[in-house]
Amino acid sequence: MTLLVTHQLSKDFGGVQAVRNVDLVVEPDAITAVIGPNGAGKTSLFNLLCGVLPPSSGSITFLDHDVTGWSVSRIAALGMARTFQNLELFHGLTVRENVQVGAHRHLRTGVLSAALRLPRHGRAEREASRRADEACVRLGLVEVVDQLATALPYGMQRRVELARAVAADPTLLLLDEPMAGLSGREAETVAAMIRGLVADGLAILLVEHHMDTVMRISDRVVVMNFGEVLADGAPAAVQADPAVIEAYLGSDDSDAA
Amino acid sequence: MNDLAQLLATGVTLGAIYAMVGVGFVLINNVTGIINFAQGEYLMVGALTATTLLAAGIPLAVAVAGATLAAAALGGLVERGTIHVARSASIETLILITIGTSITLSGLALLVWGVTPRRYGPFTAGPPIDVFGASISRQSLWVLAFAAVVAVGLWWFFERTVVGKAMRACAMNPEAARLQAISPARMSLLAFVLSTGIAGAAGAVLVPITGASYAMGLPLALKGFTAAVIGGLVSPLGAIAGGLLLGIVESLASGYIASGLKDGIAFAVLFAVLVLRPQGLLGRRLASRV
Amino acid sequence: MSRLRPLAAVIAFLAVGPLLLLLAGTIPFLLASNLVVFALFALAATGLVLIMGFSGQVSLGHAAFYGIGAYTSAILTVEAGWSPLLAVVVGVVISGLVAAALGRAVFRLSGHFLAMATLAFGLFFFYLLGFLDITGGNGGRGGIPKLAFGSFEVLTDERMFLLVWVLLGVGVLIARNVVQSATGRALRATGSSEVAAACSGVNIVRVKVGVFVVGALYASLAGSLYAHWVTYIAPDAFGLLTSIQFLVIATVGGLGTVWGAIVGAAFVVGISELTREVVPLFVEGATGSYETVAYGAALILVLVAFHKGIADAVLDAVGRRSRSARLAPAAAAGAEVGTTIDSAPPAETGVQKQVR
Repeated sequence: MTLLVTHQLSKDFGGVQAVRNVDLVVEPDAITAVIGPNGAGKTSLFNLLCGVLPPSSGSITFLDHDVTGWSVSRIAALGMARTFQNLELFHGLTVRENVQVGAHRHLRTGVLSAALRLPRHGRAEREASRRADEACVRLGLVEVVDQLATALPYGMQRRVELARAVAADPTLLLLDEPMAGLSGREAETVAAMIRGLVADGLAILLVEHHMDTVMRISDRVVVMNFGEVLADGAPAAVQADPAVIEAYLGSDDSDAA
Repeated sequence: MNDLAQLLATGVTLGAIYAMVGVGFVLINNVTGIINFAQGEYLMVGALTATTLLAAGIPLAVAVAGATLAAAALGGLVERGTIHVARSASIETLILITIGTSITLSGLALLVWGVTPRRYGPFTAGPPIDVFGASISRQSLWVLAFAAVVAVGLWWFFERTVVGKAMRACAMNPEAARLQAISPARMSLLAFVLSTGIAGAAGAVLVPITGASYAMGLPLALKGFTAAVIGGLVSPLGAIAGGLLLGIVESLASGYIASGLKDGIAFAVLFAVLVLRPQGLLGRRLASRV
Repeated sequence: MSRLRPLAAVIAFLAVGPLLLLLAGTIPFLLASNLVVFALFALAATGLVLIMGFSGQVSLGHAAFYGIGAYTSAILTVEAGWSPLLAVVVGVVISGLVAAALGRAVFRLSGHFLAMATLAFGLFFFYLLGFLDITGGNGGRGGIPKLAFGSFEVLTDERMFLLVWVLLGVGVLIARNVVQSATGRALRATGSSEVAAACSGVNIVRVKVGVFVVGALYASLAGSLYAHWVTYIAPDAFGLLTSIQFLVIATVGGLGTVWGAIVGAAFVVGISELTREVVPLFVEGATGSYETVAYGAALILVLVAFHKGIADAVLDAVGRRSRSARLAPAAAAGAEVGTTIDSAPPAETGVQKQVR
């Protein structure tokens, strides 16, 4: 079963074609990296996939559902989670609370049960805590669960956002530059954590500029430029592709920090 | 037919005033991203100051100038004292601060000038003028003339002066502007002073028609904002067009539907525009977030 | 063990009520009627705190729902002879429906556009009150019956205060329960980053509209109680000034905590009474706007200095823990700590520690 398929997916912003006729297939149990120069359309692609941007044309099929035009929360409820290029942590919430929100799609509760503290509420809280705590353990955040998420050092904040996405127990995880701004050692840790997440049907779509890391942990690489897919295949093959080399003028480790 | 012409004439005059207030909203919003809720209060301050100056025997032209300066000075003071100080706060906080300013100014005005509305006579004496069957008062002509002068003045300012172009640059791209040694802080101050000055002058011109009272600020602010939003909040010209449109709609509605709900209609229009077409009729910027 | 704390808080809260009444009996400037106004405003504004503080939607038309509650009570009891309790319930329902419609209409707006839209809504409602016959126009409506629970009639200010105080306690408890739950987290998440919340599966529309409705219910209840207390209502009590009072109460009191409105209401009603004593010495004939200088100044000062409100600042100083009604400065996030690029080495990798 293919997790996600896009067919001729396109997005233009009044004259600027951000994404152009992208046909993408994402397989489970694998890390697919999306790389390309700045402005290649990678983040736009992510925004299209999770529903933040409505496509201009084309379609997206996720878990055998045609999700083209679905609302963001509906797609998320189906099993897609993501992290953001510029951190989007929730202000005023602790690390645990941030991560608990990630588990939202699994919870069955509402205003009434919360207000009156009905049994449903207790069950939902336990469920949220269970999932959040598991994610925090996996991402090494146990020491800081009760701290304000936005008060943590940058590297840990990145991990909180990752934990939040993991708590959703998604089928497809979109990671938008999860290692941006991280030092070599931090980036290594995160890369290892990402590699460790792939199992049991989870697929990861990864945008990153740390080229060595990307080539090392990815099972497949998709190269984009000017909104189009240039190459798509195993890391070694893609690295040798002349069109890719030309677009990039050689690979580089552009550290966004 | 006479009725229609009359309503249109009234509408255009009203619209000119709304336009003057709306222009202020656009100026400040373009440069700082803030909606200055207190915009109408500067019109009120200008109006009341003019009444005081005139009552003290000061010649008309000087009184109007004085009112303008008073409003502009107050605007500058407020900008430095509140907006600039809290500039790192979120948009919501800044809005609440301008609301606080609005409340404070009208409250202070009440304390200084009292409850009773004040008035003085038109700038030039004489009977109303007949235009296509509509009777337009001389003061209304002054209002229109004033609006025209402001429109031309602003055009000249933004197109032909260095400072004006700097302000436009700052509005478009504050970072790049800073690199060109244009200070966003100074531009913010300038935008405030300019907007509040225009509002103050408009107030002084308006007194013979509407009178001056401490409570006149908010309804005008709301209508001026409506004008600005209809015009898309992008350009002073848009605000002027929006103002004229709003004035005419309001006048026609109050004439043909119900005069009691005149103000209510303006608010309904504002609500409808914000909800249905926040980018206005001319603008491309949207109110919604992703 | 953790069940004891809320219970203790409830008991303490309930005990404060009669204490305040005792105080009113002894202090010359504090009347039982002041306390009633204080409690009513606190109740109405608690709803606004939920709307503004937790989901980050600025609402400048909150008094409209206060008015819907009041006028529904007035009209149903006087025109149709319904019992006050039933009228209160109907008022709440109608407010909920109107709030749902309003919320649905404005959920895409944010910041100043939203503020303006709600302001326009509130003002339109105010003008409607003065225009329609059934609301009695500018003259208002009188002859509204007092509340009664069977044979127990709420006739005195003291009884009214105790009733409202209890309801206020319930209201704050419910608000706290909602805030400290998955729903509350979803609410605060929405106020902080809609995109991230939606990508976590939170239905943004439902949350934003929902909180609008809940907030309106608080105001409506307070409005109905108000009507059955004063027995005569007019549009003036439901206009812009009242919306501003609610705004100041919520903001100055503290948007980040469910107790904020109580603190803010004490402040606003205090100011109101204070100026009532002092200002008549200087200005004649003013209808109450002289307080606005104090409100405005307070609003500005608090926001410039604290960014979050007094109650929040106090709670921060006292060092509250994350468990209590946590701060969600969605509406006043000026002082939020920024990210530091320089990341410390991770404290642990692959921790095996047991999490409770």
